Amino acid sequence: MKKIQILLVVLFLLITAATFSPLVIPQGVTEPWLFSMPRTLWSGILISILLAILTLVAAFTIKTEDKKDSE
Amino acid sequence: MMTWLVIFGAIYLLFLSFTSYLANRENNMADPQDPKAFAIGGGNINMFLGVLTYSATLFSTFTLMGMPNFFRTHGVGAWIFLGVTDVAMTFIVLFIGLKIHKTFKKEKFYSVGTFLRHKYNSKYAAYIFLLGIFVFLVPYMAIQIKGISSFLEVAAPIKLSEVYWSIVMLSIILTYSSVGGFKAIVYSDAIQGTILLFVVWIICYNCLDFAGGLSNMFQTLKTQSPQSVKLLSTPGPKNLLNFQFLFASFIAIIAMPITQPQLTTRLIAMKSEKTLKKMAPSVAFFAIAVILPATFIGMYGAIKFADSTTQEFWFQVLIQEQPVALGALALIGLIAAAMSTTDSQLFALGNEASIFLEKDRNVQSKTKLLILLFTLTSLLFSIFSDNGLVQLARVSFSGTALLAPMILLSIYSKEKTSLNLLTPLFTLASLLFFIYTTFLNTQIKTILSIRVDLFLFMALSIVAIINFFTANKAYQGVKLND
Repeated sequence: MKKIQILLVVLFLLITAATFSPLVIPQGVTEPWLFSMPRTLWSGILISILLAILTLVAAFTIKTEDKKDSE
Repeated sequence: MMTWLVIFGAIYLLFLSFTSYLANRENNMADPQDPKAFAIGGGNINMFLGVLTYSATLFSTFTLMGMPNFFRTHGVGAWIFLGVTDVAMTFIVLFIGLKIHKTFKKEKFYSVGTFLRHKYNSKYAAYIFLLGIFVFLVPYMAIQIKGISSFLEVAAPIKLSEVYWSIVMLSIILTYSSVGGFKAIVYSDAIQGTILLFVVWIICYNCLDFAGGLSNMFQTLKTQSPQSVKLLSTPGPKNLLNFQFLFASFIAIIAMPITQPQLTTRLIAMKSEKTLKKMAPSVAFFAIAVILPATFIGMYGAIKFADSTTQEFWFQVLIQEQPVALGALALIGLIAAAMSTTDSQLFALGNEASIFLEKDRNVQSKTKLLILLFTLTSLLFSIFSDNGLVQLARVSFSGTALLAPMILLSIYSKEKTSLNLLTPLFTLASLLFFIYTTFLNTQIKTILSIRVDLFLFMALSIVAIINFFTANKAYQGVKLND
């Protein structure tokens, strides 16, 4: 595994840890609001976007071993 | 409504017939004895089809019916359960899915069961996997079919009873999957995925409009009632979305590409590693695009239909409140969505069960018979479903997640390593214990204060890790002796 991929996996784990922490899912807390949405919703959407970007970056860094790709 | 329903229904059936014909023509050009053609559509699914078939299999009816209702009932924390986990799953698709694709294609395996039998050098490993998927997937399919059929019985202008709706849908599935095999299912998924995305956004737009915009919608929830305020944070009004529930669901969902054969098959069937690499992030963005509108539909439902039953909520939001043509398209979309998940699961079960027929020359027609058998079983289960079956369907993802350590061990162990049955046997014991706690002794909810499913998954992971190191060490020992 390349260094960049290890970094991406570490980032994935950190983002996941943040998701299940009171940062994103504090019990009974709605503040602060952003884009008219309560905290868990906007931060959850932000996490999903970050994870999607992480997946996209990871896709660029992984080398494939296709012998011949006709795409 | 009836006119639009006939128009959209006819267009949908025309598309299905045409794509089944195309798939059949492609299958006929391939060697009839080649399992690859029927089982994974020749293994040449392109990126566009890959994204749509994977997403349609994953989201299904749940997107239009389950997701909004989940948000309506449990609030914004559902985003963590659905939005975060589904996108995180695509990261797993990229790393582990690529490994699965590479390993299976290289060693010419087209089902997880045959691969497990080979790696563990025992048919029992495959049987344990089959038991796991049968026990949890068949009830899931039955409940899904029952759910959509009972909704159609009430909502559709064509008056048919629930059982007849189930028979109609399963018959259509059987017809096109027998005619065109895996490829026909992939094409039907592509049609369904497109309808789904279109319908869910239009309905969302209308719901936001009815609610007076996003800001107004959340302000109303903030002041409407003590219950509606609880929807704006975790754990929600019913205290469901706590840390352990969300984390256990996260594990169960990100394990799905490994444990649910209908998704694993799609990873293997991709044309190349490069195609799969492009598919994973595309599915991530598709997931956000589908779950976001479902969120707002659900929150709108929490304002307007807070006290309605689930059926009433669906009927009002998806059909009654929409323009007639959109309501008809939503109905067709729901039928298509239910069929596209069920067909993939039925096909995957038939394909996995064909391990019993491997030496038979006519695997293809026997697999079709197995699909018929599973279809009839699902139909019977959906007709005679009881509370126990509903329970099994409800814990379906957690149940199949218990198979993940056993499968991952087989994928990541060295090529010539012979694995012992330690992990499969522990998996069997865990499956039986999980079924026992789901069915017979519902008092056991935690072990050492950890949810039963999470505890079993952690224990199995430890067993698999020990098994991995001991097996690889033994393999190195063999190499040194050689």
